[in-house]
Amino acid sequence: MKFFLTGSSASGKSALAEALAAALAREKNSPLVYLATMSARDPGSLRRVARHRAQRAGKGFETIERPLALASLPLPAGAAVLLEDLGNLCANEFFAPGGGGEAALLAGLESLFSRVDDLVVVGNEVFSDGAAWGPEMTGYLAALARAQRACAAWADAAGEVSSGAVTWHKRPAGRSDLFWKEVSPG
Amino acid sequence: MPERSTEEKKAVILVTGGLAQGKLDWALARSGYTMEQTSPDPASPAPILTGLEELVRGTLEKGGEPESLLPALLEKEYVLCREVGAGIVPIDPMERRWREETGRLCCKLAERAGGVVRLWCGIPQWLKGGEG
Repeated sequence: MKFFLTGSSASGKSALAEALAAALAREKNSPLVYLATMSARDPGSLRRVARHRAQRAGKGFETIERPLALASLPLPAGAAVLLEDLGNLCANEFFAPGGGGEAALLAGLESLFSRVDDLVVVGNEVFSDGAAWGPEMTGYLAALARAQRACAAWADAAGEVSSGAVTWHKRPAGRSDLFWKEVSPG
Repeated sequence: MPERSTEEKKAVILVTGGLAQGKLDWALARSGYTMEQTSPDPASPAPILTGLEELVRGTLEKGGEPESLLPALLEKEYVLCREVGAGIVPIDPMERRWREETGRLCCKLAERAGGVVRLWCGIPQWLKGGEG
């Protein structure tokens, strides 16, 4: 099953996405992969990345760092994959050396959605601030929005996370109560 | 009990959502109208008004009152407005007022609209009336 989640920063979307991906992997006893898009260089970011990596290792995630070009990324067979997050991935494709812009962004996502059966993709909520960004940023935002629309269309379930709870805009079907209990206990 | 007039015009639908979330695509698909039947100008006979947020900005820049737009908006079938208020409040007074007036006008329009739809990643969520 494929999920697409968005939320503002610190909305609890990461924790929920991790729980979802872990529950999907448990169902089939499949490998669990965290696809990290952030390319961290400064000490503060490296510290955060190290902390998150340790936190996820305890949950059974193998972390693969891949800032861009997902279409050509080899993945363990049958793995449940968590991709986080689209804002970073889009920024890397747009602004990082070797980035392929919107075409590469969409091709990478399309490839993931077609190759991976159990997938959780995390997006961002950054479209309602009314800020008059320059043309470069507006182009980035519009491309991110189009990518997120594509993900919502390809996913079996899609929703917005706030305070760790989801508002489903596309409801997940065919999952037991037990599954949801594992995803968000209490 | 007073009866509602059956000759009432089809009440306007307010379509909102963030930047590039699919407001226009949704309104065109639902109505069957084409781009030629959309306009950012409230005086145009086009049934779909696009970019209410920019109309509010233009009105403020000319020293007008955004609320005076309401009667023309109620004549439309669809009014599209980008959500602009979910960010840091800017220092510039005009920028502040623009966000404020855009949000308030949407609230007033929503009160009188037949439906309010918020687009999220291309998916419609009915906040008032409609199909959900």
